[in-house]
Amino acid sequence: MIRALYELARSQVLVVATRSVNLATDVVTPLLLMSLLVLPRIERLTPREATGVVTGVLLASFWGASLWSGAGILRRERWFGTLGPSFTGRHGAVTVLMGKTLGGVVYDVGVIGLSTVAFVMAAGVRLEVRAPAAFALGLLGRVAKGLDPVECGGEALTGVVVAGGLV
Amino acid sequence: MPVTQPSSSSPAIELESLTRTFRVPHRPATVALDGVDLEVPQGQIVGLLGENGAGKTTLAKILSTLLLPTSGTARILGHDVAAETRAVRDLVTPVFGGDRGLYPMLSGRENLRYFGAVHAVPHRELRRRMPELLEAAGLAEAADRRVETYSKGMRQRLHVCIGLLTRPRVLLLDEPTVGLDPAESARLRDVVAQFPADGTTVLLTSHNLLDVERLAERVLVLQQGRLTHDLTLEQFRRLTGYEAVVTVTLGPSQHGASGEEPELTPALAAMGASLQAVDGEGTRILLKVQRWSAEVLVRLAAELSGRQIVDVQVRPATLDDAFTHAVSSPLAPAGSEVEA
Repeated sequence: MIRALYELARSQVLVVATRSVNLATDVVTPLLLMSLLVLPRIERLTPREATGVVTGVLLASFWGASLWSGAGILRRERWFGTLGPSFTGRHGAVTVLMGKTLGGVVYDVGVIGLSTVAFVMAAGVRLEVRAPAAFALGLLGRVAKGLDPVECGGEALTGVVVAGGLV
Repeated sequence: MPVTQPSSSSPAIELESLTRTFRVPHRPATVALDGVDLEVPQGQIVGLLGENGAGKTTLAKILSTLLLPTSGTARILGHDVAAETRAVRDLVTPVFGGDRGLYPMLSGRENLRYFGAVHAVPHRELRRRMPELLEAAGLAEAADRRVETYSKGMRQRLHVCIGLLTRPRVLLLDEPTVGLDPAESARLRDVVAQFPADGTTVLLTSHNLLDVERLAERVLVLQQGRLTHDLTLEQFRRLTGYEAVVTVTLGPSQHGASGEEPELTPALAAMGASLQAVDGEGTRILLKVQRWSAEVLVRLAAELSGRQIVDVQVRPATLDDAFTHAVSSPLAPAGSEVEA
């Protein structure tokens, strides 16, 4: 089962890596949000405030990307004619969907993370994380929720609230 | 994950009064399959023929668990397609072919790897079988190229490779050679012809009757959802009632002085010959010969002596003729004309 999930996720990463919309969801969105929220007040932001802004941008970007990815997976499967063959395999539809979502999320999180880190380093933003383990766990939790289509709506709402509060 | 073991004595495919009806609101229901009964033993290649809309794809979808029957039963090696979906999926692989059903941005090898994961092929076996299958399909050199750069034939062969990954006991092949050039078609047929050797049963749906002629030992014809013919290949070939068609083209001088068409001699008419005008420039005599022999040629020569013969062509009756004959005959009640 783990092996199957890995293989399915790996294939999905290769599939989504060719999408041009990734540039918008995984690179442009976090950079744009970061530029709007951080650059105008970069001198006045304390490291703690900057950490809050960066976290919010990460979450909002994850949310946007996961919505695009989720819808895109099914749309592409239908377009390629692979929906039937994929979902009637021995593993069944749920495992295949989980593997594909995992692949999509891992890719989006990786690229969004890289874009954000690149911005933080280039702009010289100083961050302060008081409890790095708890922070990482919280982020992982948010990412894990992105794997569950039922929770997607909840994540979307949370993303809106967090982003709204920060702005 | 345990692999379903097929029963050694069960037929590969067994249909009993299989019916599938499609209902659309405010429109009359469409009966795609109407009480089909069928039994296919293991290790047989069966050609499934029928005009568009006859129910072939519906049958293939039911057998591959993509559709549920409205009534009746369909069993694969003893397992009911509706009640034992998982077991059936272990045993059946559909190959619908065409340009779709593959990830165009992935390589052939990556597509195989993905579908291997989908069908729970153990990793070691997958690593061992992928090069074998790619080699057998003539795709070894192109295995790392993106599928979007493949020709139609290469995609078709990749479909078959995917179908064989799981070592299916029943393979549903839908139009395997559509769009392929003759060399590609022949190569694919060679691959398919090897399947019965290891007990794989093949249900072959094709409009290319050369596929059926070269591969199938048994022919089924579906008409408006009913199984109207179930014959051996030889019985199907003889369905036309004639062995050969002789076409004799006579020159324009055969017309009378007033331009009237020549008539058949009583002997030619008795042989079943018919006349056709050829663009006002001559006349063509068509003769469908029940049993072709040298004697027929001698009789024909005697009847046509003194006439200006421009051309003579003899061709054996083809499966196309048999198919045309089969689908043009009046539709019988379900099951009443099944001849095998």
